[in-house]
Amino acid sequence: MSLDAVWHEIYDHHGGCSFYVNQKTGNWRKNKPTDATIVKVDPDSIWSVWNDTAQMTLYYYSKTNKWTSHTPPPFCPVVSLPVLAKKPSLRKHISIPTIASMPNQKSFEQPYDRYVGLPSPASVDDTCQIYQQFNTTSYEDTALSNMHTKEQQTPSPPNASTQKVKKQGLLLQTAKAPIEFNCRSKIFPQSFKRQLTFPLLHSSQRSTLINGPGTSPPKIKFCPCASSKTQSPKTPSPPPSLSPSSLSPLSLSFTLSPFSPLSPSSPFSPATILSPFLQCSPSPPSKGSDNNIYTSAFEHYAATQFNIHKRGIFKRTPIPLDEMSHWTKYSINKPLLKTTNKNHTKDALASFKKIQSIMGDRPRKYHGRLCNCDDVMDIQSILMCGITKGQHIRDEIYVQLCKQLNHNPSPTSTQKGWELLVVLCSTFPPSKDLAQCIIQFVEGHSIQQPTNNHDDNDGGGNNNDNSNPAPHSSSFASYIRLKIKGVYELGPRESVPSRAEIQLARTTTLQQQQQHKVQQENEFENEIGITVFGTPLDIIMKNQQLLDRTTIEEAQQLKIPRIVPLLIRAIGQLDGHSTEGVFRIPGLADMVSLLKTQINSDYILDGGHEFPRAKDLNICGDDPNVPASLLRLWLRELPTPLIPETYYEQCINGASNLDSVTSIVDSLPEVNRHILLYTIGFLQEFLSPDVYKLTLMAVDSLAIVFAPNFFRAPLTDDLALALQKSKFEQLFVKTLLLGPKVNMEAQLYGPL
Amino acid sequence: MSSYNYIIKYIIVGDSGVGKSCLLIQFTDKRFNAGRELTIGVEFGTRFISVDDKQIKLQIWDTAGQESFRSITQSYYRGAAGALLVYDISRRESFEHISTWLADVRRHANPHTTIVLVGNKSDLDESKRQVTSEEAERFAKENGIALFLETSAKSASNVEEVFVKTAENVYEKIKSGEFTSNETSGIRLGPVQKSSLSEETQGGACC
Repeated sequence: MSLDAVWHEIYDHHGGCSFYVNQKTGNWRKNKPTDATIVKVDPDSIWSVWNDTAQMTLYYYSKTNKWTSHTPPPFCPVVSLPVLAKKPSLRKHISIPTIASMPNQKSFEQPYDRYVGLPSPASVDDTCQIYQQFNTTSYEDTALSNMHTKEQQTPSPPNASTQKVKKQGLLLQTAKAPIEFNCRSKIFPQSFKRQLTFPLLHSSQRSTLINGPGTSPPKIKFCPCASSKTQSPKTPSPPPSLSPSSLSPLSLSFTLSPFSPLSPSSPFSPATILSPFLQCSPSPPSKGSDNNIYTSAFEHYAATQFNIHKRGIFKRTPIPLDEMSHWTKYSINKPLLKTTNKNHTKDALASFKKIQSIMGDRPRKYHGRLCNCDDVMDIQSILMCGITKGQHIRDEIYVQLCKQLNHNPSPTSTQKGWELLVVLCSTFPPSKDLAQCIIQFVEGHSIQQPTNNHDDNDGGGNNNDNSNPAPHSSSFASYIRLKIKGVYELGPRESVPSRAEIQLARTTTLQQQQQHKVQQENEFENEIGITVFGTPLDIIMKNQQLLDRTTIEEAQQLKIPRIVPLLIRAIGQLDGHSTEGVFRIPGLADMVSLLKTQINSDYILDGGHEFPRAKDLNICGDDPNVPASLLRLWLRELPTPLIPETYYEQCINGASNLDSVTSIVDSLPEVNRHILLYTIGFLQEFLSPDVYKLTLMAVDSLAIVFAPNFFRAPLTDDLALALQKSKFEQLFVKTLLLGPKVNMEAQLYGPL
Repeated sequence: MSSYNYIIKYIIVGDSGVGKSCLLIQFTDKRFNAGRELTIGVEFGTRFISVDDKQIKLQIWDTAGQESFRSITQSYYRGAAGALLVYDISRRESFEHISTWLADVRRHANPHTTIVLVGNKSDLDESKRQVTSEEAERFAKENGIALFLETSAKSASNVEEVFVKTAENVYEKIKSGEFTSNETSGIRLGPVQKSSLSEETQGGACC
């Protein structure tokens, strides 16, 4: 059967009509072709092919499984719709695969917040190309001397695509559905038939390519059929595989790449999206040559993503790449990253100057008058820029900082740079492929931090004495990895971190660089240190009990996380009972976050045994609303609500009846019940008329304030309904508050 | 009154306890209620005003200041033509949190939304003041906030002005074409305007 004659009939769900695509020519029409074979396409089992223009590679995407692959799927039909997507008039007939446009720079320009950042249909122009037209360069041309070219071929779209998929999960119905097609036919495009004979690359090999681009002398080998490929340059090549012997320890540790076809169950589940961060071995580079890999990861990123900068007045010569990716004391005249948006240029140049100022490489100009700018204000303005101006500028800031950390001659400047990196990583995420590059960069550079005992601090990453790896290097790298992972989960922050937060993050940098001994012996999970915020109750309790078992008698062991009585006692000690609007009025955000950080670090260091400490109370600045706000924040940050969702409807239905409320509370998991009742017991103290006179917080007000912290109503678009339900949540809390007085001690230590 | 030219949507945001609901009640009902009831989620009030001889119906959404309600209230930001950021001049914290509220509004509302900074409780004794008007004015200027006023919901000082000036600013934007009438811009045509203007506004895409 001639391929020319095969037309795919594709049903467009948005438009509600079918259209027809010629698989070979890419022609498109609405009317059914008469003289051709029609292949019906249904929405399962088909893969689409996409061109990642940034990386000059093809990749394949299965809508059904949400897999991407750099190799053609061996047993599935593949369809491309390039012409269709290229014609603006036709776009309305397809829904655009969100996955495909992510690697495109255009989509980076949009902030990827939770509700925005969907690729514009315009970006399809560039991302989607017919695979037959794709002209791959032979991989055999990729000599070592030509690393940059090779880098361009190194596939990385899945990095980007995973983010996209994660977002799809968040967006739920709002995400545009990728093109759906389906093919019942057994006909494959000719070029793919040949590739069916290729063995599928093992995932570890593929992820090596993704994660360790430009790895040390890579012996690039072809798959068994490689020769046939080079003979037909119009056939898309599967990515080259590296011979296992050339894999770096780092890249080997990425074996469970989220893109692995070997883990088909949920390759893009939120947990696995971040797997490169989690599974990246924290072991420091042990061979001198390996260090080159780490530093070069950034330089190779630079090779593919950077603008070409020129200098000179008459004869403008391009600045060599290694110079571009190294520290400089001069200004830059263009953004480092390629951009089409003029507005970015100004922001990028300004942020570069600020980075230099912060690191002490550029004197601040005073203009003859008092300048009240300091480091923190510069940092805040950089962060503000990154928060508000979208992903592209965020990446620009990250690479600018990496550039200034690369081969930085000054230890002081370097240290300030690391501090800034920690602050950045707590504020907004880099894009996915840059994130991996940064982690490798940190791993390669952490050895030269001023806190270590080596004397070769003033050299670049390549000058380190790697035969004796610094013990803390991996600890800091995993700290950064953790930070990036965290910021991916939470998304970019909505507001600029306060001065206190920035200062704390900077201090933490030093601590993290120095802290190494104990942590390395533990598993990665413990290395994080259990924080009490955003951690499941059972894990908090497990850790607390482990600590308490050795130090505290059983009768004295708490049945609830220590932070709860800590904060509640702090509210009491700070005269919460006589403060007008207690619980209602928020504490100063700076103080709340300071107290949060303090408590968190106490938990890591000693389990936070004493409570509340004088210094904790000090942080609160005499305002009981600070611990009160933090208590509510802690409740809201629990991974599952204190009253779990499974109980929600029950609670709503029986909110006014004390008996049913009591029986629901009794059926709650033990820890949840104790926390709930302990808090209720405390709030009951505020119901007495004497206290009310001072606080003006009536039972209704207390219920309004606390209900949304105990419950988390299921997400709904129906806001009226949500408000309706929230009234019942409040009623539930009110019923509980007006019920029998709770014995707080019994909730704390269990029934005697 | 059933004949009006525009409906303009406002939102009032700010920390809990700064007097957002009191401002609204003072403006719509001309009374002050020192009650301590908390706002649950979002409540709203309406009033007609006239700007440049045009009748404008203000639809004012009063949001709960509790952080725990933020996720609900943010969805009401969409399509607000005016946003009142309220702080309490006797509580410095509420002023320091304004930048967070501002970021929220910028993030969730229309980019052309007229943002107004309001320092409430100006009736309080000067000794209780923790935020000077100079400081707030500078903040407004630095952050591109169109208007700043100190009000008192209790004495009704400047309350009318805040709402009317915001409406004037929005109306200027309508006239200059920065806003067109549709749901996302927070401006809808009233029955009067619809008949005369419906052709003009057809196809106008906002932002």
